[in-house]
Amino acid sequence: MPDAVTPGTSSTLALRLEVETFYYDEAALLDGRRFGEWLDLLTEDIHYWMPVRRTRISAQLDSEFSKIGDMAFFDDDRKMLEMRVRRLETGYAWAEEPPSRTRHLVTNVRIVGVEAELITAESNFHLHRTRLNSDESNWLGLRRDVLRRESGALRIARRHIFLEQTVLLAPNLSNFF
Amino acid sequence: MTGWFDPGSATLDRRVFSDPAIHALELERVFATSWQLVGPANWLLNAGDWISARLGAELVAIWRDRAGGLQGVVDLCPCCQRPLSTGERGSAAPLACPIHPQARGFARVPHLTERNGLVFANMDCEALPMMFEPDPIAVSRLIAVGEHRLRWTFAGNWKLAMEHFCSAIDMRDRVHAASDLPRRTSATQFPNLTFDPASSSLQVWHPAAPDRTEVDTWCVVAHDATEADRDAARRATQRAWGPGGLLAQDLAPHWQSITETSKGLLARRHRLPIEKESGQRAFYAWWHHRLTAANTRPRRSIPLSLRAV
Repeated sequence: MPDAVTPGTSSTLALRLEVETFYYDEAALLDGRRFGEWLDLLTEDIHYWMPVRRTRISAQLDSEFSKIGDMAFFDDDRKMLEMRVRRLETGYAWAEEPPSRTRHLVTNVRIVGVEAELITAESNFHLHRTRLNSDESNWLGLRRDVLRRESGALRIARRHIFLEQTVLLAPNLSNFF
Repeated sequence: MTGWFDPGSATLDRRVFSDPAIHALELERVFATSWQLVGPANWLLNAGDWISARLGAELVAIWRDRAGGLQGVVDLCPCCQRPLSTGERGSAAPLACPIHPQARGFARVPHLTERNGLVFANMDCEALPMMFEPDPIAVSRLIAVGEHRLRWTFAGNWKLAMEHFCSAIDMRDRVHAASDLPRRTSATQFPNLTFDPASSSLQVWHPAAPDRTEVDTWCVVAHDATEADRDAARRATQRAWGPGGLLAQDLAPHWQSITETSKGLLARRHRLPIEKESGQRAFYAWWHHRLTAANTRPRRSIPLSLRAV
């Protein structure tokens, strides 16, 4: 699907550049463990959601992911995300003490819809995590975000994360995507 | 000589968390002969509904037949050795090998039973009827919330998760859900089922390898729970015992460390003291009993049957 705004025009390119820059800055905050500042990038009504995926045959791929309201790995509102961040800052969140090392690679950014102040953007990500000496996890997938312009700045109003895994091949999900 | 578990000193030989020989013995003497949870009955409501499940190292497919009964086979076409199930569950579509739909000679799961809305299986032909004391789950019939379960995996031994849940409970001399405890304590059923009423979550800890566990997590509620209660239960399950849950995310790395340490020759010379809580002791005592001399019944083969879904 091409960019929903007129392809190839300078305003489209400018918007994509703005969104990409926003994602790179966001990734830098997460990898730098500046979670409090990361929270500032989220709207008050954010929905942060990672559905469960299961193997389906070709004819049933529409039911591959759990729907909203069904079981999910993440189904967080802002309050829950704030709680996760506060918990990480206590020093007693043992999954992250000592902290893991993460690197977020964000690519293939596509603006798939623009409606007034709302921008729908899809991006591919690779989250690489190591912890202690030999723990290593890799998550690749798609993020489908709704970004909203608030006082001129982009904010994340919705982040839906679609992983390329059915059984989660990691001991936990203690990082942000 | 002190055994793998010594009840007197309440100590464990650390190799029980990583020795392949002990793992093999567990599969044979514990998992091939114990009742294990397959899934919620409301996922097997109609004729043709099927789910794939793990019984120790055995991958099985369980379905509801036309007469309303439960059937199960090892999830493998005897002709081409492909799994019969595509994915983890399905409905209506006949469960058959796409290449050999007429195949016969499946290894059948000899015992299946439904208790309180949960389906259990046992691979042992001579298994005794299941003892299931559902308190503190204490409702007549449970249902799973939603169409999906949370599945995750960690590089640690399955017993560490069981031990964690057992430590919260006084099981006296039984490794079953204790029936006279306050409602909010967790419950376990030997070998690998746990239930946490505080988050309405049900976990099965599969022994995928000596040092690898695969976890199935369902959210279960009473069958007549309101929509609001179901939603609250689902959120509680996700936030406590999903892999991103605030309880589970810290525990798995801890269990991985214990498992990793248990591989050291020097570490193995130092027995691991377990808490002297009777829950943990009862778990290991029962586990040890099943693994050692008391379990001397001859092995029986799993019967073959013709299959007709």
